[in-house]
Amino acid sequence: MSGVDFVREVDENVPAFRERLEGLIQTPPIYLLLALLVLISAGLAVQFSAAGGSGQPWFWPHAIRALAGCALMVGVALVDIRVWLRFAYIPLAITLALLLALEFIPSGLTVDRWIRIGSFQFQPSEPVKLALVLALARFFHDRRGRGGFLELVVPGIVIAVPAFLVWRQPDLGTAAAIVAVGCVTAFQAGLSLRVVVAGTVAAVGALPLLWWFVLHEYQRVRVRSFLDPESDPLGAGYHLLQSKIAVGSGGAFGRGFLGGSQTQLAFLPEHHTDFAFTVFAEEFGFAGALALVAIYALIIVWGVVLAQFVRNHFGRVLAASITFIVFLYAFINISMTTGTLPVVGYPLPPISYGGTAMLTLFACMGLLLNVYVHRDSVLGRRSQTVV
Amino acid sequence: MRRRWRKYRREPVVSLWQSGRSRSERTGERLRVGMTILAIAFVVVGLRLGEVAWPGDTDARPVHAAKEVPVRGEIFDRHGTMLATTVLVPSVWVNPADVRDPAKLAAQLSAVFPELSQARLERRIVAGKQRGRQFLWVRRHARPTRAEAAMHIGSPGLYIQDERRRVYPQGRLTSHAVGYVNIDGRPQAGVERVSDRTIRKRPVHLTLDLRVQYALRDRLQAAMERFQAVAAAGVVLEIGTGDVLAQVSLPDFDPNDVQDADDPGMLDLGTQGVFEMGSTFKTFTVAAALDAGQVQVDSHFDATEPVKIGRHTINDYHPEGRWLRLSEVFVHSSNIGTVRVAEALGKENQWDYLGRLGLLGAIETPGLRTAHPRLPGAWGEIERATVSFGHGIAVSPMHLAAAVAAVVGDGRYRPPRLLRSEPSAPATGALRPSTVRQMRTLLRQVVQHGTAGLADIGNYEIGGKTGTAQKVVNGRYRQGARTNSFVAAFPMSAPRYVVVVLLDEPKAAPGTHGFATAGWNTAPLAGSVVAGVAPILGVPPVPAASPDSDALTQVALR
Repeated sequence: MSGVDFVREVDENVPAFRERLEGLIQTPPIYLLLALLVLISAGLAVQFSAAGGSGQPWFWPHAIRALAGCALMVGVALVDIRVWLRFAYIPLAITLALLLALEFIPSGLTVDRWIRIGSFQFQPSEPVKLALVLALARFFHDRRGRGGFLELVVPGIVIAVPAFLVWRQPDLGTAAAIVAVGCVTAFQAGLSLRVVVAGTVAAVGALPLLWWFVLHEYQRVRVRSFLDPESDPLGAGYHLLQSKIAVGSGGAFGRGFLGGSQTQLAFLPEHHTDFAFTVFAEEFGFAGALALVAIYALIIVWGVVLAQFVRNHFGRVLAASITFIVFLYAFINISMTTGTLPVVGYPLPPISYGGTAMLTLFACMGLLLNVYVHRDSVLGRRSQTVV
Repeated sequence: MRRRWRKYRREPVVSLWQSGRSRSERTGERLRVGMTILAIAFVVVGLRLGEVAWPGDTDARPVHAAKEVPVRGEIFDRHGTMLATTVLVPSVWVNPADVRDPAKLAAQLSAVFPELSQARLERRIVAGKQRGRQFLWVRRHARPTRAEAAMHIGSPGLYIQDERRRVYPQGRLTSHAVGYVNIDGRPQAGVERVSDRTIRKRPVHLTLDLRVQYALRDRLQAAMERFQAVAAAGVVLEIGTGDVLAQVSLPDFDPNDVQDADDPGMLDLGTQGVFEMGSTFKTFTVAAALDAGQVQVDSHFDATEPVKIGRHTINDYHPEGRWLRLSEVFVHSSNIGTVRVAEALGKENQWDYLGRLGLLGAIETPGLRTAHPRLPGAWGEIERATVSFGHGIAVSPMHLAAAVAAVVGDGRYRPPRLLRSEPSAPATGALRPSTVRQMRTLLRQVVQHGTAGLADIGNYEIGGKTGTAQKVVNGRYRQGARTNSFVAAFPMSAPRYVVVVLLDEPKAAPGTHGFATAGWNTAPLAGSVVAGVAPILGVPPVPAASPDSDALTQVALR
């Protein structure tokens, strides 16, 4: 019987804690959906407030995208996981093609991350993370712990190519996120620890090279201004200072909905996109911001617990890695707006404005639910079902 | 559970760090590692959120405002006219640490405030930046329109702050009486300084009557010009209460724009200047002798020869060369006669009476603090003689006014006061009523028949005494330099007010026939002051041939 590793043993010695954890995902994930609903509502509130209390220009498009996202989530969840396993490489191929297209289609703008088809715009660097996870999960699912040189080279190339293309856009934050997501996927899939350690050492060693040869000057300025934002309060440090002032102005319980002066008077730049969290924090205070963080944490805990109990390797790696994608959205954006990380322009779906990130998040949630539905399925190699 | 896994895999597990374990098991371990890392990350995010939501003082904007100028109450005259108040005016300052381009800011600021040197301002900002200073005044008490223009420069580190500024609506008119505070609100002179604690608590009313103050200053200024005096001082005192109705010292200053605190005009001669008063002091010698019963109004004194005391000879300005009655000694201002009176009085009595009249110590009453009189070092025979006619002892005009008020009032000494809201010091007995009646007559006689005829203006029954003192310069009497005074009271039948005027180094003027003695300048000056203030104070003129005044004179001098 192949796939013997994935047979869960029934053991009377299972600790009570583990049982309770399992109970968490045995029940239908209603609270997961409720958490998502709260996040969507918070996002709509922010978009309404950022426009000065108006449905235009952001609230209604945001609402429509949220609805589309929900539909996408349900759709992704309902497709059998075997279909996803079978066609796991397709999304990566498509997104890579789109990224390449961006690279070679000339455009008038220096920073261009969008594919435009009519009035519809699409940012392929967002879904490429999810596509990468799918592809790597499939790869490691097929490898089944054979180990060897291939396990280092193939994921390395698969990670490096989209990361390089995104870095060229240039979008350092997303490029770094792609590398992180890829590495975590490989790590979760069971990459040999020797490789992991060697890779970490190499990465740390490459940091100075990265600083001098890969980073653009404006990116170095951003890092410097992150380390000392007061050094240039009207220049590179401006976003961060205004953001911190806004969060501080919110205090414990906030200035009230539509009451944030930093937001309403537009001192805060990019308040409906990258600094949407700041808008929320100013108007709903530390309490509201912490509640938002707690909701993201809830979703992530659910994802990790789910990963613990999935019987198939593909689903397990998917759950863990997708959860990591969600974590990255929340962590990078909130850290950036509070000055824990440099300002890198990383979105916070579904709070911040931006369709691609939002749809990517809902696709992630859909896949997570899919894994949940098929948590007890046993998958063979090459998408054959072995029960 | 792990044991079961091992049974299937049939290979030993050494540690997590060993490769070759089952992938799924590894995944489980790694999930827990990942979970821990994520949890830590979330705790960091939460903590950071709290830190940003409650910023400490570290990243708060630096607030290094200037020391607050203390709150002060307003000052009014006795009728409620405002003499001093406080307004808010904008002041401009910079925090050099926050200034990004000192040269540019200095240029912008000197464009707004042309009186500021651009180069100097830039040097100050750069120096402040280097020394890490966070506060630098640019322009204090700016005009609001200029401050607004400065605000529109909009440079980081440039701030406008409202400051309390003391304003004196009456300007020079009350400069010495009210005094002033410096730019930091510290009191420097006058009532502002003497009653600083009271004024910092509440508004105060002074005893000053602004109308009387104006009349006094107007006449003093005119006289100072006419007689080319270097300085002038004057006091108007209400006898019954000791209230100072007017107090002027010239030259004076603009309390709203004090330039140089060491200027001679900053000294209040009315309270801080001490002068040898000369013959006006004979009032006290004669009053003391009468009161002590050592002489009578009809006593005679030998004024045939100058008096020789040791190697000093005392002579008269208008030698009569005969025996004089007491009234004649006083009315003709005989030095020789007065020395004789003082001999009869005795130096113990002389000292005692000067003390009773408040002439031996500084006056310290609500709102008023005078200089200490300059007293003789020893109290021998020569001092007794010179003090009797006002030399060798120096007091302020305020001292003189208060002492004369006691002599012509009810015989009780009342320390003068300037602050109406505070209770005045108790009056102390100095002279007997009979002495007071006799002194009123004698003082009136001086104006009617003696040295001060020019003071008799407007039928206000003025009585008074002239004083022409040799001026002491560097410890020696200087020939031709005089301090002239006149002390007047009116109306003499029942005196209500005392006027003291003083001219420092008056010169002869057209119409004085080359004379520069008190009878020719301070006496008519005092007369004009009385004529100016009597209508204001509600004192009616008495017809010249009034039987009252004549009867008074006749009875007393008989």
